[in-house]
Amino acid sequence: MNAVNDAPTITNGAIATWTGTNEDATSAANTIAAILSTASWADADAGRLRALP
Amino acid sequence: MSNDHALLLSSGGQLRYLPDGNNGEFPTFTYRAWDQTSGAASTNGVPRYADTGSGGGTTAFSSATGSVIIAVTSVNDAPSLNGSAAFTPIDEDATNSNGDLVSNFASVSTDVDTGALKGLAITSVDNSNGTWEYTLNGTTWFAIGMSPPAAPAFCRPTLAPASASFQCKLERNDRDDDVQGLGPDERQCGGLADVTVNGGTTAFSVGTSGAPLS
Repeated sequence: MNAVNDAPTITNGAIATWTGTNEDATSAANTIAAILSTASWADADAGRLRALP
Repeated sequence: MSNDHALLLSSGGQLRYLPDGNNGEFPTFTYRAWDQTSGAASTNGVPRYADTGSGGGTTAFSSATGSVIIAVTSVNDAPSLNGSAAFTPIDEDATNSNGDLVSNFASVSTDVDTGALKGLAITSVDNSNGTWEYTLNGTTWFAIGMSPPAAPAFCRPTLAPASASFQCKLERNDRDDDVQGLGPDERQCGGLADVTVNGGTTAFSVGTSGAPLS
């Protein structure tokens, strides 16, 4: 049986609120992995990588 | 960025926000999840893009979208002066002129802050041939330098007694004041403030401008 890719899933409309900053300061860096975790990332395919387009 | 031109980032990457230094805001971005089964991740200095379409099914992209938001708070920006404005000319004998609105002189200033107020911080006056005055209500005039009440709306020169050779040489140097950032006492127009510290996030412009009277 050939494997067929399944698109990853996240919670539609999930909103991640970052720690605020002010207009003169660069925000803290946030990892893409953390962003996806906030949105309850999941993938039915084993071993799939997490990423953002 | 758009669905047909989406930046591809692997999970090892990080994101941050660089404000433009002008105003507070709530910037956002929207994303889809990407399983990297098609397309290639961006590398340092080489952004890569893909058309995600609507995602889902057997594609590499989620059909659902998420978003990120960050609160950026405002910090005051000092106003800047761009040029100068001259007083309405008066005769040397005009000892009760109407004066000119402060707003005429403040109009040459700009401020990147949304909703910034305009005003002047007068830093020096030349009273050698007359006296500079201001009024807060259009009726009662005070000599600049005297201890005042509140909120100047007009300034006018009061000239010395006339003579055939009298020359008006009044000149006022002013520093723009956007009022923001001042304490309660300093915020009161017609009051006195220390403007030796200026620019940056202060309420006062770095530059000064003269308002000559002829």
